[in-house]
Amino acid sequence: MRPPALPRFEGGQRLWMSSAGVGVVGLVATGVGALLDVREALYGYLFGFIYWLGLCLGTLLLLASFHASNARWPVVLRRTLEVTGATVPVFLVLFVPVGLGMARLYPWVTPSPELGEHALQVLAHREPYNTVPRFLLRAVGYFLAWGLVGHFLLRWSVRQDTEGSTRWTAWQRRLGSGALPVIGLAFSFMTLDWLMALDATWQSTVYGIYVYSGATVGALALVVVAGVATRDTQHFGRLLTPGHYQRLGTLLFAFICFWAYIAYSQYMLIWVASLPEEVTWYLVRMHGGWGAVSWALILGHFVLPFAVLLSRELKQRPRALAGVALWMLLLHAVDTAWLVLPALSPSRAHLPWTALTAWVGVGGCAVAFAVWRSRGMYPVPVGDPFLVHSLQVRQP
Amino acid sequence: MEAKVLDSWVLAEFATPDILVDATNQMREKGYQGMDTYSPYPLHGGSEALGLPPSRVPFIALGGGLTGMCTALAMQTWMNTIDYPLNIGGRPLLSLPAWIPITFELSVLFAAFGIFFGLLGLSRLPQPYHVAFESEAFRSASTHGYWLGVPFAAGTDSSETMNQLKALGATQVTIVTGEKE
Repeated sequence: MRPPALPRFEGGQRLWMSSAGVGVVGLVATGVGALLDVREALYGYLFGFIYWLGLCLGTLLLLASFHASNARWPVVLRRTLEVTGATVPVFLVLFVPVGLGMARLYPWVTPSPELGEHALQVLAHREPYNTVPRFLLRAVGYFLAWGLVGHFLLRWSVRQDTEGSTRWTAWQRRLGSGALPVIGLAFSFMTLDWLMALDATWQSTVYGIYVYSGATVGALALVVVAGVATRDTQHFGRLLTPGHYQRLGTLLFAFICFWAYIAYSQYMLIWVASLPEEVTWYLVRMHGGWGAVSWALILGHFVLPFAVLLSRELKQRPRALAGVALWMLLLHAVDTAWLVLPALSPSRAHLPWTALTAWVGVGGCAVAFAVWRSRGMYPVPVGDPFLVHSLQVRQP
Repeated sequence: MEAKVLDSWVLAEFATPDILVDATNQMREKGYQGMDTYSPYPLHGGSEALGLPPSRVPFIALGGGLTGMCTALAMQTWMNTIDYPLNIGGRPLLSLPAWIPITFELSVLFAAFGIFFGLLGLSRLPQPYHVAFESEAFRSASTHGYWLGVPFAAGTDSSETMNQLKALGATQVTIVTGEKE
């Protein structure tokens, strides 16, 4: 069987231009918001930034994992994963506001006496790790690691399109599996530096995995939505079968369970130990408006999708699965907001409007970059020796 | 002594799994029922070719999981809250966060039991004897042979069935008769 001849992707002009337009408008609006209330705008921006960066890195880690496991069935999805995983440069540029605003975001930059003596002592103890130059240097290191891996995984795959040599498959396999520890650790340290540090002293060893599991749920949901959205076009969605959706749905189901498992583990350990410096993080999120958000996450991010995705039939129906995926993309935003925004206003649940504009702004720029980058490329890796296997995937 | 119930099958061996699935499909379309396929490993499309209804195992598993969940919650609440109240670090006697690990484990355990024993029950396993074992050649079903079994009522003529199986590409066709298990 010869792979069907999908043409190179030449459209997308309107999509990337309108996304870029929306993105710029969103970012400008956030900038205006920063003039009015710079603290709110920075937290809102961090929320939008982390959301989309999480989707990008979740996709990159998924792609590397597929390479590490010699997976054949997802080959037809791979170009989309590669292009999404290679959007890291956008986030390097978009990191600038976080770097500029770090003094307002992270208490360790200029510790105020209000934190109390104990917290100040802890921060003093962490000083060798927490310095502005080292923070920025680490950030550059993370972006280098993600950016290079994403760049070469895409580039070698594209080369194989025209050259066809299986050498490129071997190279991608080696890079994908070899780089997993590096990009995984960079992800984990990123969550400590950019998210956990929002609280002066709070720490949790499972935090990185928690953010990773949520990001992977988002990444899988994104692939499902992209596949269904391109079903009637000359793009990869046209080639997806119920077998692909079944597998994507199963992975989505697995990572939703994993997310709940990690979320509960973190909560249970802190609840059992009941240490004053650990429980504060949860106390803020258990009462009032944030408490309601926590319940919305438990029910909407776990219980409901768990029950729905138990159905084998639903996972094979593209539109139904896309509905669940859209819901998960929304709940992933709630999850990200739940991580970031209680640090802005601990006593009441508050969503600054700049969070919405930043979400739109960062998202628009990232989508525009991905679409712009994929122009002229084949929608699937046509030179991959396992593409035929992927196209023949049936329901397990 | 009870009268022995005789069980009769036409067994046909096919060269490849694809031919077997193809033949099974055609036999089903001709109206044959109660057939079974035998192969050394799972057949792609085998269940569809036999026209089997959707498996009931998922519902047994769900029932097992829910039973485990309720059992665990009830057991812990009874033990730690009612029968022998334990004050652990001043926490409430009914502390659901502490109940979760056991609840999770029992749900998984009971669901796994449901799958394991449900599957055995629905497949009527273990089955130490089956009429097909009467055929020496049928042993290849566990190494390299792809077999289709078509039942027929004892005393009726099976030559028509045998001819059809041969026409569909069977490499050998044999009849087995024995006591019904």
